[in-house]
Amino acid sequence: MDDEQDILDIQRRVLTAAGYDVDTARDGMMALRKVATQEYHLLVTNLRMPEMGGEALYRLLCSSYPHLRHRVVFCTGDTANQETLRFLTATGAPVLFKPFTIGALLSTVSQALEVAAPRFVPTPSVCPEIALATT
Amino acid sequence: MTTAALSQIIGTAVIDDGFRSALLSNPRGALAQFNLEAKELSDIASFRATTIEQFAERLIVWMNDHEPEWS
Repeated sequence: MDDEQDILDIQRRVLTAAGYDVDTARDGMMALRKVATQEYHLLVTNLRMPEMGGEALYRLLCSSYPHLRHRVVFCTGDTANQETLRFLTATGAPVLFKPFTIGALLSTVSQALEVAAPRFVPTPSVCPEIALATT
Repeated sequence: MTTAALSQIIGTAVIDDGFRSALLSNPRGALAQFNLEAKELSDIASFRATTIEQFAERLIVWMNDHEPEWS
């Protein structure tokens, strides 16, 4: 989940090429609607967003969908804010600090899924564009 | 209204104790600051919830009932 469509598109393409089924949401209510009706192995969400931030989303997920508590990866560029760092530390969730590379995205998602959905095996597809971007 | 606007309502309520209390006890008054259409305001203000999680669940059901506006 991210409020920036370009970032959503890039992450979707990278993760899809790596073999993951990817769904996206541009705001918190859209994300909540999706998790209310579909099962997700992992949620990758930006932390700072204008309408509903990742922290608020996480609180709602923990209350209403507690099984998702350990299936969240946060993305943030807010590395200087002590409150942010305290929150992230308290959640124990993996964090992608911006700007992050495609390799960091893939390895963080892979490691998080080993915990959240250990039997999940992605099926990578051939995607020259992404291969070029990672070399 | 957009899903982003609804996200703002719920997102604000989660982190703002005062707004959350107002939303749960007097939703019509709390929602006045948002640019809701009369029917939207009437519908959402009629939600009966004691927690913000319940309110969010009601909102999801309401959004689902108003497809395809929110797809």
